Amino acid sequence: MPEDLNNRNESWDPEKLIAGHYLGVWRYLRAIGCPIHLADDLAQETFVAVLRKPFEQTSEYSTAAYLRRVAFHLLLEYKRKFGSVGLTDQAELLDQYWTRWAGADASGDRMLDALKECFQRLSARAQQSLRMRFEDQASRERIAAELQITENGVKNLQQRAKAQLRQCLEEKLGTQDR
Amino acid sequence: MSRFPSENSNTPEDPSSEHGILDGLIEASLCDWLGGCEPSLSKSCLTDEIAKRSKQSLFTNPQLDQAVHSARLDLQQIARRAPNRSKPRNNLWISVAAIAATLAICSLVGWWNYAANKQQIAGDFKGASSHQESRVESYVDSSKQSGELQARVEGSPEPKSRSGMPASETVLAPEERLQDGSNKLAVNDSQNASAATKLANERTASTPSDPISSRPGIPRVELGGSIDREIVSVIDSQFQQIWKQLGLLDTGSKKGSLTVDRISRLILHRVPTSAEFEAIRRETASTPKSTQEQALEKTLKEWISSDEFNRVWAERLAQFYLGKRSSTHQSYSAFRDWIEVQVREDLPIQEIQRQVLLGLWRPEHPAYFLGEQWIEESDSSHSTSALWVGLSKAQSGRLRGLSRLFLNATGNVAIGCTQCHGSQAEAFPHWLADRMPPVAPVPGASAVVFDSIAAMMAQISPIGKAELFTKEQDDRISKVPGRLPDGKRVAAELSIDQVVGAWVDQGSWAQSGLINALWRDFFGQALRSEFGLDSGIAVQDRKDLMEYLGKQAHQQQAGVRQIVYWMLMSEPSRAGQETLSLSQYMAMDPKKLQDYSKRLGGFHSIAIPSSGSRESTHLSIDSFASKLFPEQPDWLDRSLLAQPAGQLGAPTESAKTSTSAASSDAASSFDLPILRAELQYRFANTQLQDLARMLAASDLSYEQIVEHSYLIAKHRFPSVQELKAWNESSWSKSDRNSSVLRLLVGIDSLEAP
Repeated sequence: MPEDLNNRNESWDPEKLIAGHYLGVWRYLRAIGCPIHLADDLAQETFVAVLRKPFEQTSEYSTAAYLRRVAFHLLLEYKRKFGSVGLTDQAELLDQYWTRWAGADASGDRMLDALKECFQRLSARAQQSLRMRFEDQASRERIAAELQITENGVKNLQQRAKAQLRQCLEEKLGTQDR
Repeated sequence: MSRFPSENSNTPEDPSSEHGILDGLIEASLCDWLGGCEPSLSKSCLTDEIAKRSKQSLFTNPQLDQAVHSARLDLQQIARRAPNRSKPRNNLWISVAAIAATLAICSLVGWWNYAANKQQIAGDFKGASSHQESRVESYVDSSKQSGELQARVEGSPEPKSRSGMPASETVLAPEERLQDGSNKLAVNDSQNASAATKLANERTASTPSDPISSRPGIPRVELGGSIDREIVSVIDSQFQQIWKQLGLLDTGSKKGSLTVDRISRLILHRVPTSAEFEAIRRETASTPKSTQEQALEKTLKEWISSDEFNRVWAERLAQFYLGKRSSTHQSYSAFRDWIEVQVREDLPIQEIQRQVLLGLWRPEHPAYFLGEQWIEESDSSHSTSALWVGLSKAQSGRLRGLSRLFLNATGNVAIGCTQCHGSQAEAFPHWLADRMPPVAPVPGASAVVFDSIAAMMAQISPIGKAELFTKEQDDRISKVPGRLPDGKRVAAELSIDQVVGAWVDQGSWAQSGLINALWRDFFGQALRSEFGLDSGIAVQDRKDLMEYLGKQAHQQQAGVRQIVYWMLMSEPSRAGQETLSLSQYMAMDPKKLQDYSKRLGGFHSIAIPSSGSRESTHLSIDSFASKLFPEQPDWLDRSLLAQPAGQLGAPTESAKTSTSAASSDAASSFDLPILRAELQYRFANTQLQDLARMLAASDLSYEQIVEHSYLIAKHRFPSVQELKAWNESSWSKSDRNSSVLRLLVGIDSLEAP
């Protein structure tokens, strides 16, 4: 069980709030499909919004849930304003999924730890493909040349790798909570 | 469902699905771990960047506040449900409820020490909102907090406030009120909010000597509390946003106010009597303005608590359940009287809903007769829809009628289309097809279609068949399962009460249908039309508002009186009144007409019949049909209001040569449904035009088109009399495309006699 961030007697500390929860909010936004720049914007906006209306923090869980919900509503507002993204209105469902996979804590670190283990189970070529994509920002063409396969082959390889990661994570995390 | 744009080629699955979430998480975590897409800000500069952003936000302050407010409402709602949920993963929400309870207690003992002034970062944000706080403080009476506050929030993190007022009051003060120092809006708002607060205080502090509250039969519900004010402020905020989008905030158009005359028209549907005017005049003569306001509040309180109010709104609700049809059934008045009692006793609308639905199966219940009113005769042209195996025509007709009544009452009218069209999306325009997986909040849940509603009705109704079977194309017989709103099958052991309870309780949308009907009866147009029979203005915002009100009605156990109060105290009730006369309409150039239509569609203007009586808007169906489609060769090129001489009883020449104002006014009130139809016709939104084109291009007979138009506009089949009236009009004698559109808007505009 994660320890409480604050108890009721502690004073309102915006810096602590941001430091403790920013990454979790950002990851949540990314997880529900926001591109990086939008996740950046909305994560910051989330804190702008909640810091204008200070609230009592009693636990890390509840604060994280509240922040995620504010982020979600800002995303809805963004959609309404700019109209370029689609989103289900089932915030509660999204939150359940997030909680199930990433854990209800602020950061989503549980997921990251499990992912690192699962990543080691992938084939060497799949690992290399993903490393090149994320670490080196390599294009699919470059990865294809490096691995001596076609671009479609790279796409398939990465899709299979992600499917394996998903399966592995379901085994590692899903069974804990279901 | 559309997807988010993705920077890479491996687009995740639908982000709303569980796999989509997991894929998104994998993607984000890989990026985060391997590099390349971590957050752009380092931890060291986060706070500074966020402080900077507060001055250059993507959103306005009200939008930010609305997000916070919505988040709190969400959690509040979840927390309320928490005790009924038992799975371990829901512990999160239970803990949220516990937090909120703690917060409520904290608020009671005065734990509102806000130490933000000691925090540099908080100071940055405080600057942005201090304006609002000071403004709102003037609305607040600090004496009324604790009890209301404790009742108000049980599930969300409660903001701290130096005033002790729930921050949502501050949250929802529209930006425009703060920035436009000279505008009338701010002045009016202040006055009205003040009126609301005073009304609340007066109710709270009512003493035995108060002649109104001491009168027998006065409901005990107290209006104007913090919850009511919060809900009204959300309505206002939403409309401020809509008006801003429409560019209506700076138009300088006349704003009305809540006068005696207007209150009476809106809640009693009549003008005040001379005796009432005289009583108010006597009370306010030579008194300060504050006393005049009190007199107005007193009058409002008297009217909203009166038997007349109960009668008026019982009639409206009865009409809603009747499908807005004329009824001479002897049981109608008993049903209306029964609703009147429920309104008088302030029964929550979901309870009225529940009891009406349960009454459909109980012969002794006043609502039982509705089943006979909605029965679908099998010899009409829609009999192409399948008869269920083993049921007689009469049984099938009753079951179909009951199902359609059920869908209408619960606000699920689109499901009715699947009676004939199945769930084939291609049978509908794309915007309607989007709504066709009718109610399936849980991914993978089976869609609820018309047959599943009928099966549910069969299962719980005393028609002698507990199961429903259909014959497939290959003559195979299959059982149709009844389904609940979430798509789950209705278990055989469930009682009527449990099934109806599930429909009424599962989600707030069942209340949304009723809310929409009340809204339409109050403002003259619905917040949302399932099939696009509305202005097409701010559709999403209006839908959001309707759902919000549905949720609030559900959570607050609001009765009709409380919901009418919310509407009355909201901004649109104070919108300028612009009832057009025939001559004014005819003289109006297209640009002005379009502006008028925009104001009307955005609730920035309201059209109350000049006589104040809704009765004046009632026309017989024969007369209305012949007005809409007059017997003359060139009617297609003319306004609906430009009737042939002698047919209207009002001038047909242009306004420049129009007759006196008195006769114009008479025409305007008499022809309000025609005017509504005219505006809908002239400014039909894309959805409605699509629908009309689709119907016109189909191979449906004229009679079937009339039936479809009734299903779309009234959510029921036409009566024999209605069908006859339209068949005898000239509607089928000219261009089909235009005629269908005219027919649709005409049927939608006509109230039941």
